[in-house]
Amino acid sequence: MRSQTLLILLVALVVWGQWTVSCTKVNTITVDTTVDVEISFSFSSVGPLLGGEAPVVVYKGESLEAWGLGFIQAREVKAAARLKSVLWDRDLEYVLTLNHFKAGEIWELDRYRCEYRYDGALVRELYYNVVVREPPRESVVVRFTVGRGDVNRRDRLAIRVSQPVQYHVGGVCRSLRVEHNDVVCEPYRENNFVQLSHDTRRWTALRVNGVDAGSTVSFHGVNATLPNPYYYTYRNTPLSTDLGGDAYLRRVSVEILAEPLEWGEVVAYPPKSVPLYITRVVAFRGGYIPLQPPEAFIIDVGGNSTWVGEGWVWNITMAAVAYRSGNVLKPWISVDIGGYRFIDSEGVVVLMPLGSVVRLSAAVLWRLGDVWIGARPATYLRAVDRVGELINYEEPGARGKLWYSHRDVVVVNDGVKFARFSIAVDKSWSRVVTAWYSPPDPCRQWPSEVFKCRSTQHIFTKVNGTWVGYARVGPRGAGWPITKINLIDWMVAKTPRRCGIGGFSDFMNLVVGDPVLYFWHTYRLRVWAFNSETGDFDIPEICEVPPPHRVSLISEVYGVAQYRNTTSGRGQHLHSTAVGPFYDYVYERVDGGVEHPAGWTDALPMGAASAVSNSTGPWLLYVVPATVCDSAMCLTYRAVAWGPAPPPVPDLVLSGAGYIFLLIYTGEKREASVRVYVERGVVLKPDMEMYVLNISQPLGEVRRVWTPFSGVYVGPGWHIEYRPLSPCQRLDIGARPIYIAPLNWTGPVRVVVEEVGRGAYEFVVFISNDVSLRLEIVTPAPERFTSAFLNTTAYMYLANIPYFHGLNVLGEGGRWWGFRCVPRGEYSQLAAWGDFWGVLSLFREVKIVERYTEPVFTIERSGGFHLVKVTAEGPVAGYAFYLRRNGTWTLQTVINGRCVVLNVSMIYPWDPVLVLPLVSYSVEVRNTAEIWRPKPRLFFKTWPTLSSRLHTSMVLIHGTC
Amino acid sequence: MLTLRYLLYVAAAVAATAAVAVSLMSIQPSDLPHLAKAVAAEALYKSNNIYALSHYVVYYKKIGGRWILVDEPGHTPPLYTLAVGSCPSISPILNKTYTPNNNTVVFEKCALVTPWISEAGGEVVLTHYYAPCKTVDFFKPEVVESTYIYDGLRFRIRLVLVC
Repeated sequence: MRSQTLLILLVALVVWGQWTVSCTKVNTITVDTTVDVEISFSFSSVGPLLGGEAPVVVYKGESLEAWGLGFIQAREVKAAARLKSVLWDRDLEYVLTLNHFKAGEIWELDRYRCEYRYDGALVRELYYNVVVREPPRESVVVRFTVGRGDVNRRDRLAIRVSQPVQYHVGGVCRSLRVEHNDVVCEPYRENNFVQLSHDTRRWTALRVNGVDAGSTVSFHGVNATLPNPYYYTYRNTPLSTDLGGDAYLRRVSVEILAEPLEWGEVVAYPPKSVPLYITRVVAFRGGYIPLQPPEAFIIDVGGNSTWVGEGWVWNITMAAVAYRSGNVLKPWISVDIGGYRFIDSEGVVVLMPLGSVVRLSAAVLWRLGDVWIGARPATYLRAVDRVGELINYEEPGARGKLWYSHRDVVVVNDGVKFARFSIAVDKSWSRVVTAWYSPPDPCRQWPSEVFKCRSTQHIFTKVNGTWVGYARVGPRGAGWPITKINLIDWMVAKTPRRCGIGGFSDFMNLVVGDPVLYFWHTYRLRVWAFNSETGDFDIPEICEVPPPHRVSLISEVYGVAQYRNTTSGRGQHLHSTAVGPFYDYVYERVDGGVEHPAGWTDALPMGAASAVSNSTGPWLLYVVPATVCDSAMCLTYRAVAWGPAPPPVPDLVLSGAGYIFLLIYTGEKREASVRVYVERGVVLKPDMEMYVLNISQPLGEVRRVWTPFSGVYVGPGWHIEYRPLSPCQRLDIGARPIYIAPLNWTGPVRVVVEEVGRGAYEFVVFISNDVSLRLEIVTPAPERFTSAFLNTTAYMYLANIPYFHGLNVLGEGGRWWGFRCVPRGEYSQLAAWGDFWGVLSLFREVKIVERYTEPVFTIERSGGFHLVKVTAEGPVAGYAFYLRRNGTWTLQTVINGRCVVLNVSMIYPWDPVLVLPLVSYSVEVRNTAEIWRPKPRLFFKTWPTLSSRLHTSMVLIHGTC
Repeated sequence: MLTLRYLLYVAAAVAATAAVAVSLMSIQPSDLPHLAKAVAAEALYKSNNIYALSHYVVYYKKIGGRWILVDEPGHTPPLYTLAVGSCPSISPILNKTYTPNNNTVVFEKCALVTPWISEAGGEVVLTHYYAPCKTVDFFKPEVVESTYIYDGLRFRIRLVLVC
């Protein structure tokens, strides 16, 4: 370009103002912009995955943590192997054409000063440079060549160019003029350019990583044939510069990632979302349970045997019902490829070059709201995809494109269980679709526990106000009593079925309507029938569960053609495909062997031990023991509730004791006002006044927004936010009234939870005074003996269940027993320590009867009168031996065993041995406790000792007997 | 609790032994019958003489419904016969049954106090005598007593420590 304007003096006079703008040439400058431009070339290549090598993966995703493991959330992933050796069909040539200002030439620019004046006063002044001479342009061609055997190539060279002047000097214009009272600079925009010729855009590989195009690779049960011709290409934009696009300043780079033209894919799908089932115990009248899947699954039943007319009759009175809650369990699928774990809720697609054979892992993880929940026992291949279509595995299996065995499982932790499988993709089968299922286990939660599950619940049987015995199940005389009801078990497996009719069902079929396969096998299971003569379930019977069983899990896929047509269509499904240890349980077979569950899908419910209700409503109710004093004299009222909360025994109440209620909501989020009514009992107020409750007068009312698994502690006229309590953990209630269970009543008491405007749910809690104590008694063996002492620990049980309560507030106007709370597993238990004499009082008065145990010495002739056997009556667990040293009886040794043989050769008449029997036993007591107390006895050796005189004795233990 | 005076007495007895050994040869024991009766009766006795003490191990054996003293293992644990003074042999006292009334035998320079036996309440009571010291002039008996089961029989064995 040539600028012909040597002087521009343009004055714009604006009548409505006094602005004037003028530009004046100042001088002419010259600039040399010669630089070295760096040109780099890199070529790299990937190829098919041929087995065990570490893959290169390309993905776009965010990292995500689940169950303490890192995952990458990505729906599509490309995976390939880095090439180690190759033979291309030719040398690969890449040509760059650079067009630029010639190096060594100078730029010439005219420099102008532009002034902005207002009423003649200089306001602003700007400088501009107008290009009057530019260097000539030239074109240079650069070639990079990748040899036929090169998997990688790197090159680097430099050329000299003149850079465009605008990158060196500011305010460069092609032309400059003043227009409308302003300076108009047409910017100078010339650039240096580069171009990559696309001649080598597609070529072929004759051999990759030692494998010829067109040959077949086998790995772990699958095989793939490499395409022939094996086309290669690059898909990335290879050319990049420091300016972007085709313009450059100082740096040009060409990066070619060579990859096969044709890719296949593996798709891994999760199952559909399923509702969360929560198990609770529901009472039924008349033994009819009007609930069935998918609304509810019956996990277990409880009841009692009643004598009617001439025999025992079994009545189902309650059932553990897993009911569909409003919460949803959402599955996620993870695919592990070479240690990279990708995860997505819709499915993960792994792209890989045709000819790839690879081993992958898939895991189904589950999510409930914001927490991950467990999966157990494993992830399995499933014949139904996430939209409910059957997947044909026979075709890829028979073609050697998919190989799977349910035994190949990697258990990482409670929530992540990978199933390993092999796949291959080639021209004949380029898309392998898989779907996966892992049974959800909502009781394991990560990273925080949203709900504490209980696996069983004690049940209390009562007929017409009288406690009755528990029926037993199993061989006569060896059955186990039904004292507990299971809350957590496999829903399909545990749903009762009528023998001889109908096979096992598939959870996903029942719950979300997925299609199924059919499995042909007759289960012959051992069951126990009710015996009207004994009132127990002690008649062995056979329960035949005939085919077809609905299944959808696959135990094996491998290259056998006979598998054709077993999963496509709803025909008969081959036996072996659905047989295997899919779950962690077996059935007892009539011949004494075991039967395995077939490949039906199943799920675990969340076990909630609530007070027994008459419905499967969203409310869980618990009683939590509460005390009002913890000092020796009840002078100040300070109420405390005692953990665990929620308690494992939600509905057992000690008569006359204090309680508050815990209400937990399991439904969907909603606002509601809830009232609690209690049929019997009194309310104790902080001023020690009491009033009697009745069922028409609410104990308390709570209005709030209820979110799933939120709850409140409810007392008379108050409530506080729920937080879980561990065993023996205290919750301060302060000067708030508490509920006191009736003293003069044992048996069921109704509690009604009314959701205002929606209806009422009825619950039952049981008031019992059946207190028993377990005494655990041991004799300590102190270093220095002064007198025999018993360490007795008394533990409290209510209805034979470990129980804690601190204080009977109605007893004698205050406290009458110093108590301690001891965590015993998931229970809290009341305990007292000491050496009790005469009477032991712990919510029950137990008379103590003393019995003494004293050592008996028997001289053994066989040992040359050196051996003496020490025995004692009663629950003796061992003996402690003392000698009198420095004025006190000093412990020599303690020997365990009811009978000990002492070598008395070193014992002398003037230095006797004190023998203390050590008792250790535990006994359950209700009215009278027989307590064995140890009585020490001196052992003198009163017969000749053949050794010399004047010795001090030594205790030598010969052994036990 | 029972404590034995012997434990304090041992030191004094050991210190006196060397001095009394010479004089022992010249004495003419005249109070041996009284001394033996007193020891057998578990009574205090102060002698003007200092006597050497030794023991013989014996047993009781039940033959024909009678307990007789023998010098080989019988039907009881081993027992002591206490010898006061210088006794050559105990054969004359064997094969007899001794009671509290006849369990002392006095020879010219020696007295023997033999174990005696009685049966009461299903229990065999044996009393025998042992001197933890080697020489003595002041007999201060003390009894240790215990019950044992031996050969299926219940024994109460009383050991009289005489010094």
